[in-house]
Amino acid sequence: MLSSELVILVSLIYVGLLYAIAWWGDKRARDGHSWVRNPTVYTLSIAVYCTSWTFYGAVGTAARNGLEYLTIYLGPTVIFLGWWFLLRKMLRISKAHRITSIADFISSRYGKSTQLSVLVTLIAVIGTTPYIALQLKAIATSYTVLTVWDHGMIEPVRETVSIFSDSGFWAAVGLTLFGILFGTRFIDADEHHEGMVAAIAFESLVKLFALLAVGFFVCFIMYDGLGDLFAQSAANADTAKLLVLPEDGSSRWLTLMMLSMAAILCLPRQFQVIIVENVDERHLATASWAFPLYLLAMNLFVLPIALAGLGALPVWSDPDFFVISVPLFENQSMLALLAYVGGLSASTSMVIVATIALSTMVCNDLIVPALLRIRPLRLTERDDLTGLLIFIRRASIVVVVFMGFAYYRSAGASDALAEIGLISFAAIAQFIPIMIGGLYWKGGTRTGAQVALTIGFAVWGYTLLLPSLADSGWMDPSLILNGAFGHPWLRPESLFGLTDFAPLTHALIWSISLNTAAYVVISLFTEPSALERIQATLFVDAFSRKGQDTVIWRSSASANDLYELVERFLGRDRAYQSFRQFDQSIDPTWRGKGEANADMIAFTERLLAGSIGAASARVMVSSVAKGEMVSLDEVLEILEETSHVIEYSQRLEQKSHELEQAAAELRAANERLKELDRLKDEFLTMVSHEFRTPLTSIRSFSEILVDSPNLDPKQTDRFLEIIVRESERLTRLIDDHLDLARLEAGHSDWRAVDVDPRTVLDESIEAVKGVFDAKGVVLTKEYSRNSVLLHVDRDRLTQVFINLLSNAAKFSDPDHPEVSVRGEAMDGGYLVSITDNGKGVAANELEIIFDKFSRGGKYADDKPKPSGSGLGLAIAKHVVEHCQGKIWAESPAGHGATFRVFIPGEMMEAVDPAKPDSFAK
Amino acid sequence: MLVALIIWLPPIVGMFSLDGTILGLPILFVYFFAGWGILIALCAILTSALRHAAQTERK
Repeated sequence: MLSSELVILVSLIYVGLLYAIAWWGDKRARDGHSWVRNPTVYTLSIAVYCTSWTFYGAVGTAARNGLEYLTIYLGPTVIFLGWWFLLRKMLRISKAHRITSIADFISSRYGKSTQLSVLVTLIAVIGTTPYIALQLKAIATSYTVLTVWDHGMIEPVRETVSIFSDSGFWAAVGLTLFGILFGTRFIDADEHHEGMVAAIAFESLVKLFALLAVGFFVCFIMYDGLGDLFAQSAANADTAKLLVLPEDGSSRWLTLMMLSMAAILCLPRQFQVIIVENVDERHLATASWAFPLYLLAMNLFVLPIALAGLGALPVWSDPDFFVISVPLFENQSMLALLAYVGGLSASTSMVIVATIALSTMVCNDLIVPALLRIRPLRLTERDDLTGLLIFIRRASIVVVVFMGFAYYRSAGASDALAEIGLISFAAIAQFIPIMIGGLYWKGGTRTGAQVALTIGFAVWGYTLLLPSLADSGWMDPSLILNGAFGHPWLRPESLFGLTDFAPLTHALIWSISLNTAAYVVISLFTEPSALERIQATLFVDAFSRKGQDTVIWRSSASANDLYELVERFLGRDRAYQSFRQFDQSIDPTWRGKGEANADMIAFTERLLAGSIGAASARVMVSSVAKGEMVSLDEVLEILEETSHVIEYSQRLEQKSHELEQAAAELRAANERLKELDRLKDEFLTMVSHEFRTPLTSIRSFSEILVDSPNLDPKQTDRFLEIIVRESERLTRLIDDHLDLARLEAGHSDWRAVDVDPRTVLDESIEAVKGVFDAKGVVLTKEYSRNSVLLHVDRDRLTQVFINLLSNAAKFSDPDHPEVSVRGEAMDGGYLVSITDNGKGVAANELEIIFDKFSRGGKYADDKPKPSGSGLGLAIAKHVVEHCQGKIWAESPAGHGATFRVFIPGEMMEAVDPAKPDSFAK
Repeated sequence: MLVALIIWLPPIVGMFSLDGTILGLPILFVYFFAGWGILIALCAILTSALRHAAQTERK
């Protein structure tokens, strides 16, 4: 037990230290070298989440329900580990729109709706009241525990003391002062409170240190380490059950987990420190693991302290204050004092941040919009409004703190700390459906959000707040027992006959499900206004949109007017600085005079939104911007039109691409057709020419014979011979033609048989022997020993070889004609090469000669050789290719031409070893 | 991180509503805090990797 003078002195010194830190932090920030803006301080400031509920209440919960206390910290851990998905988006949006509070955030999302921000503010204020009461109760009780440690202190505090001797009252006064001094010293455009953040971070260190110190004391001085403590606890039947989960606790477990996840996102003070006070997105990345680490450290010794308290302390001691009473019981009064300071810092930090956050909301989203609406006040025409704004904020801090105090004095004192806190959490959790929906679903509408919030909040009030008030004897408990109008279906703690759940779970099931259902259903059936649609798009597509500015003002305000407007709300210096910054960074053309452009008006609106909220800023700017705003429908129409045009042009592009492709194909087809047409013409010309030559001679000789009956018989015979020869040639030509036509059409008969190519070659050579002898051609032939069995049409192959041989004879050197034939069995087929010693084939004709009518001999001194049909090689090519073979010509310059035919076949044994390997003929 | 999130939530609820009474006393306590610590470490590694990636991307 400690003297009350000492405790009060320590408390005053501690609070004085806080003031000093906050003052110093503010000073550093104003001088421009803030040390507050770093990830460590940011993380520690988020630890404002750990209030006296954590510091004292967690131990109490652990002593009553075992490990259940962890849920309250596992939820935020999950949210922070997944910061990439939710927190990052909220942060990005809030930065872009200069969001200053949760009410601002929600109302901005739903078309900057004033009604919605009022609703959110009311819920936040009412929901936070029990929470602030909890802190005051913790301060007051911890003081009592420290100074009046005896059996008598289990009596509720309020019945033993008057208001002015209640330490809770003085705590409330002190906290109010602190909030006023550091939360509302000036109106800032971005609502950063450096001094406050510094103080909060310091407090987070103090409470962590204090709890760890008590934990170490319990584990390593009172007991012989954690193992010893657990072993002793397990031996006791009462404490052993705390080490395992209650059998039917899963629904409560889940409820608490969800609640704590909602709380870290929606509690006004968490929104303040996580989102509003954030200066750099990278700090959030660090906090994503550092904050869970802090929570881990904070919770490590909670269960051991609870177990030690249960084991060592008398039964009447309140487990909520084991953190103080255990050291006190062990006569460690200095440690108890340290624990008290830790608890004090936990409580004060929460109250300070919560009141500042709430006062901003009350001022921006409740009072200012209301004042703006009261026309007789002519608020829009007053010169300097900064004083008024600061006054409103200070007043709201006082109101919020003393609402908490009133709850503490009247209702809250009887409950355990954690239960009071959970009532708060459940109220705040009503924001979750419209917040998450607003972030990821464009369809959510303002009406839907309003109705959902109202329903959720009403159900919360009926099922949680009402029973809590009834418990403290403020109202007739028969309503709770019998339901409204005596109808059992309307019993607040088992609404509509749902009786299987604990009050908290029951309340959440009804409030959240009705809330969500109303939000979804009404959103689906209501049409969002233009502004709502714009804001919904900006929020949901926060990452995919590059430019955050929505220019929706038609330039019709003078820059001066805007400047004055900002000056009135932000003060002279800040207005000047902000505009100078804008001047330099965004619009270098602005010189503070003349018409303001749309960017500038939008900038002003955002600037004002920072200090008086989005909804009010809109009203103010529209009061200055004389001309009307570009109608939002107009803007939306333009947007939609643009997107339609883009879509249309994309489709068009695709179409034109397809067209291009089709055109290219058509062009290619056309080219081919033209080429074919040319070939056809050429072919016809050639055919006519080819036919014409023999026909001309036949006709002229016939005419001579007819005209000159008295011709010399010798002459007549010669003429007739020519006519016969030419006719034969004509016939051959036509035959070849028909043959080729059949080959090309694939109509010719193929009688494939197994043949030895050597036999075919010999036969062919025999057939052309007459021609060779007549020309005196020297023929060399050379076969390899092995041969191949070919499966081909024998006559056709003979035709090919004859053709090649006669060509060779025809084109060989006229003076010393030589032709060599070579047959080689190769792997997989048989290669025949027929070489002459003539002029050869020009390199560029090696391919062409296999075309129809393209006789070789493009060399300058070549004479046309009319004896062939010009189809021989073409036919040969067809035949060879039909046998899956290949025919080609080689002609090294000056060494005659070699035609090679390769036909695939099966290798066979050397059938006739007696036959000479090669022989000349 | 999403994986961590998914792994984190349901197994805890599922495991402890079902197996809570079976587990012995130190196991439960150690399970919670060890799991917590491991997740924090994982998140720290992931975050620094993300930041590293973001920086190299900026370069």
